[in-house]
Amino acid sequence: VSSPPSPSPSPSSKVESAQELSSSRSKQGFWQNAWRRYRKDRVSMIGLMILILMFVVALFSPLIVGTKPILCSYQGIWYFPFLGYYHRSWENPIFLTRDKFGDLYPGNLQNQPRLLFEKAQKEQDRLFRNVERLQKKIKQFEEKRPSEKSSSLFLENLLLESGSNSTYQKNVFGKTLKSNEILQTLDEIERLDKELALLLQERKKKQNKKTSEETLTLLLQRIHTDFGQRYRPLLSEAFLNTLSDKYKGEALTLLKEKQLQEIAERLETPEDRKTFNYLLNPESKEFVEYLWLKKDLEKQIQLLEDSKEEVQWRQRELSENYKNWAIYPLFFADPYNKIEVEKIQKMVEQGIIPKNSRFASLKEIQVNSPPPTPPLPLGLYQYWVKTRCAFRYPQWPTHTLPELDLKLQKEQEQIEALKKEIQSSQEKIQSLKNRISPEEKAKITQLEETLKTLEAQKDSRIRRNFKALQQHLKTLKQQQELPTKEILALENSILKKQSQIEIHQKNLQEVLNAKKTPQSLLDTLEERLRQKEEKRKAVQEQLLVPQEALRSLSEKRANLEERFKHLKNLPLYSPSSSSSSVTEGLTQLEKEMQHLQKQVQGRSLKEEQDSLSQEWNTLKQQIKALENDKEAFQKQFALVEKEKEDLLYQKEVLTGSLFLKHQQRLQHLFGTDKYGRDVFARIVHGTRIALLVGFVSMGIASLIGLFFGSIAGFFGGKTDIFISRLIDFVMAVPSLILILALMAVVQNPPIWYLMVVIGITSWPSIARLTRGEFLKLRNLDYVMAGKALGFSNSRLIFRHILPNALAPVIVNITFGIASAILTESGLSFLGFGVQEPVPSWGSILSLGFQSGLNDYWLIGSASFAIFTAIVTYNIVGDGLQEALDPRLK
Amino acid sequence: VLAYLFRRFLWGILTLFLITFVVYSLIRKMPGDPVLMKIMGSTESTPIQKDQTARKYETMSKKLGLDRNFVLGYTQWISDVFSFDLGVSLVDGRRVTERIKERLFPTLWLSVTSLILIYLLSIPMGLYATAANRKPSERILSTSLYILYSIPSFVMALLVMVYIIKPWIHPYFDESFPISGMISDDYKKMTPWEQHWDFLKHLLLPVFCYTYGGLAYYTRFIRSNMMEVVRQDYIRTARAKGLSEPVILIRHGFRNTLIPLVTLLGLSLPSLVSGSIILENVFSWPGMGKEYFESINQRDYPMIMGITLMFSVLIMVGNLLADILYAVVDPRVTYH
Repeated sequence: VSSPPSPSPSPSSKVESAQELSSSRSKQGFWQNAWRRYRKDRVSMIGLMILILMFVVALFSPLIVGTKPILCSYQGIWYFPFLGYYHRSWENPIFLTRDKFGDLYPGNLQNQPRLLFEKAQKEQDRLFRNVERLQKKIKQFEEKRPSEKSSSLFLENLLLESGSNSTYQKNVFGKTLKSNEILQTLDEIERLDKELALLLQERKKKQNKKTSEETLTLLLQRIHTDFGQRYRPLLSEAFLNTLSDKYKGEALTLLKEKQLQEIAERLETPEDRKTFNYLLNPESKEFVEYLWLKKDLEKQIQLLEDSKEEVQWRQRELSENYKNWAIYPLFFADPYNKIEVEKIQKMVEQGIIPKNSRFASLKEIQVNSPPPTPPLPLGLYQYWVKTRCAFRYPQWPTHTLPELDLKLQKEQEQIEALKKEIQSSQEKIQSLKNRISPEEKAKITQLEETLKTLEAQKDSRIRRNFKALQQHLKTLKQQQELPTKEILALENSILKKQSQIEIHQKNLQEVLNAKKTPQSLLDTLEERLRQKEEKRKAVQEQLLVPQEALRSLSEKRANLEERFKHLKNLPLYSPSSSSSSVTEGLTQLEKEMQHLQKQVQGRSLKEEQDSLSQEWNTLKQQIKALENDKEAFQKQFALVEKEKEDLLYQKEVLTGSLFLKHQQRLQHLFGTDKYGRDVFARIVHGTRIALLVGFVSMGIASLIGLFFGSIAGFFGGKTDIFISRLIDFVMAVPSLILILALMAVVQNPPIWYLMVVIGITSWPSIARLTRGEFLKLRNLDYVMAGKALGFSNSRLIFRHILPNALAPVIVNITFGIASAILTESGLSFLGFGVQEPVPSWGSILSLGFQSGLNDYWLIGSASFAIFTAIVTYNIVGDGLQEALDPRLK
Repeated sequence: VLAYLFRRFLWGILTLFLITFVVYSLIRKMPGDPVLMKIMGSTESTPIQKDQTARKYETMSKKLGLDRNFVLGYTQWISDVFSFDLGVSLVDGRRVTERIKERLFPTLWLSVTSLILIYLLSIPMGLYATAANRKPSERILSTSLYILYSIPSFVMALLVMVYIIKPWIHPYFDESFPISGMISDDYKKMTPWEQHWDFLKHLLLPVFCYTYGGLAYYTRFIRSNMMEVVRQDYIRTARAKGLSEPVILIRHGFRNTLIPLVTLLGLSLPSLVSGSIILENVFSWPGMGKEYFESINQRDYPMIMGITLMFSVLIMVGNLLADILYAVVDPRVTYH
């Protein structure tokens, strides 16, 4: 069986020199040589540079466009969000982390902290309600139970009695306890007795209720715990016997309750509790329920406190999140996306995002941006506006009115602030002046006088006093001087500020002056507009007159036409055709007679006709003139309208509204699409998608192709036939048809599925190439040597032949990447590829196509991107081919 | 030769079986139910009509063979095919063969004209490029062809529409380059001469977009092959003999590049046929590619199967023709 020679892209003459080549290939310097050859070609080097640039753009696209961070910290851990890129909603990278409370974060950072916070809040509310309910129930139970007072009284009495009772021991040990074992515990009981007595004394001293209660319970506990299980009932009975009948009942209930409590505390599952509850009488039932309720309450309160802590923690975390990454919105939401921006605005309103964050000021512009807008180069537009305006008005103002208004406001505010400062300093001066009281002044004068008198007396003792007095005087004077200095400084500052105010006022006046020209221009414009309006109205009114005239004339004309018709229809001559019957002839004759009579009576018909036609002609002329008039008027009207439009435009320019309108457009380098998203951002992100799809899909294809091709080529025989049939089969299916069918199988196909589909359908060419290379190489000497050495097949295939067969395959893969990118964009264009929120060049193209070819900028930018990618891959592929196969040049 | 052809035919039948089976099993796995779509489209289901619709659904799915699993469905479909019955379209109830016949000729118009144009233009261009090697004119030609080759055809179509035809031609020459459809709306009112002219006008842009990529590729291909041939010794001998340059190029050089060219024909057929899917959608050309796209969107199973069969048969025939041509061109190749 011989099939036709498999058509391989490489010419047949290659086979001859394969041996030489393989020897050169097997040397280590093969790739270095190839690189040296590649480097010589300038065009392919440029292609390589562009390719590297594209990779950089794809990797750092968030940095360039600013939709996602390249590296971000979250809870102290650093993440690379672009690793989570394959998720369908690409804005939200996936991280799996466990937080302090053991919750797994399965998804995006965008929602999860918030959701968890809300969940914790809900849990807290639920616990709150639970606790309230339990507390109510417990209150009900406590109302039913005996009051604390009575029980405490009872305890006091009990203690008193047991302490004073001397028959206590006798009763206990004489009656019921005989065995030696119990006698051993005598000391214990004595000790307890002593303790009781001590406690009693203390009790008497301090009158402390709590201690008594505690001691009693302690005692009972001891009786239960210290003497072991076996003797407990006996002991308790003995203890009870010591008590008088008065307290016996209550002590019994206390004991019982103690026992119940012990048992109840051990039971935790609701089923056990139920069965236990079933065994009890109603009173103890109530008690046990009460106990349980209390326990539950404690638990719930504990939980509540925990949840409170959690809520606080989560809230803090949330707020820190937004604080640290003012980011969150800026990076994680597409700032050019209207919906996202609205979401963020809501967050700002709720106070989740601090208002002074970077992002809070960003969205005001974006929300109002009208989608879709074409791009508008900044400098060109400004040049156009200014030249156009300057041409019409030589004294065109440099600033728009709102700008000037802003300036004015600023100046005024500054002046006001300065004035306030002056006022405050003046107040200060007054207060300082007040401080210098007249009394002190009087004191000083007195002192001075005394000093003078003292100077006169030259006594040594007095001298000493004199010095002291002088010092005192100095300090006083200094005290007085301090405020005066301050006053001076303040006055100076006031003067300075006044001068500043003057400057500001000058500025203000300048601004006002500057404002005058645009204001006056505006006023004149508005006046002119008004005039135009009036003119327009006048013209309209003027138009009305000829229209009415026209209407009357046309009515007249219609009348005339009717008359004319009537006249025309009148038979001037009797029909000459002979009639068959006499009667008809008779009637005709009669009619003729009547006409003749009419002719005789009035003017002749012809005369009337002539006059009518004359009238008709004049009318026609009149109508023509009127129509001409109308046309002229309409022309005038149109002129007026145009002028008005111009004026309105100028007004827009002057008030700055037009500029503001276009300023939003200037922010988008490539314009926006119909959802208001920035096209430039989408194209830059699309680079990432395109390169990913190209590389991953061709990686899959080359894996499959290399595997099948090498197996087929190496083993030959039946496997070769089978695999070449498989290759023929896959090649016989039109690839796009298979891809479309495969893509339609999955609803909303994720991006990796697209990659797999492209990979699955594009492997046969690689397999065929590898097969050819293997057929060439498998009979060479070094392979034979390997076989002779007993190398395993896998070693021969993957370590010896495959590296030598790789060179032509690499070229094929490079071209394959270009075609994969092309397929991806084509599929996205048809709507079968990458789904909507993910930016892809093909989907941008399809948006442009769906707009009825109106959004030209979408098509232009996306096709530029596609073209660049494919051209670079082709250039690099050609360069590789030439470098790896040096015989071509 | 006959035995070879027979074997080839058998292989073709087998591959056709495989392809149709794969596509059939794929489309049966697609989400969306064509029967339900059809019923919902025809009658709105109200609670009263529920039983009725259920009964209708059963009868309809039985009629279409959709109630059984896909292996049985496939056997039924294939037995129908052997009796030359491709079934009935789910959308409008017309016969699939009829619809395909309607759609086949527009597609063939596009692909065959572009193929002829490619061969007519690329051979002289490639020869010129070899003759004028490294002259400025050749440089301009080959770089422009390179750039053209790198623009995908549908992108080129959109670019031409948006940046040339819409702003520069439509306003001044009223609808001289229609960008969608195969014929104008008032086609039936025209005289036959006008009808032909109208069709040509519509054909012009799609054929251009179809042709330029292949043209560039073939020209480059011929040039590179010729460059290799030109370096051979017998060409030098011919030059030494004093033959004129055109004679050397055409009679001695070009004949030897025919073999890879014919191979390329076989290889480029599938892309030529299936490449029409996107372009036909762009130009809304009523061909098979657009039909395939629409029927996938409408889950019209018989239609999808019919078109797949048609496409694969076309490609098989093309490959076979290429192989036969191969033998014709190269006397060394024999089939036995």
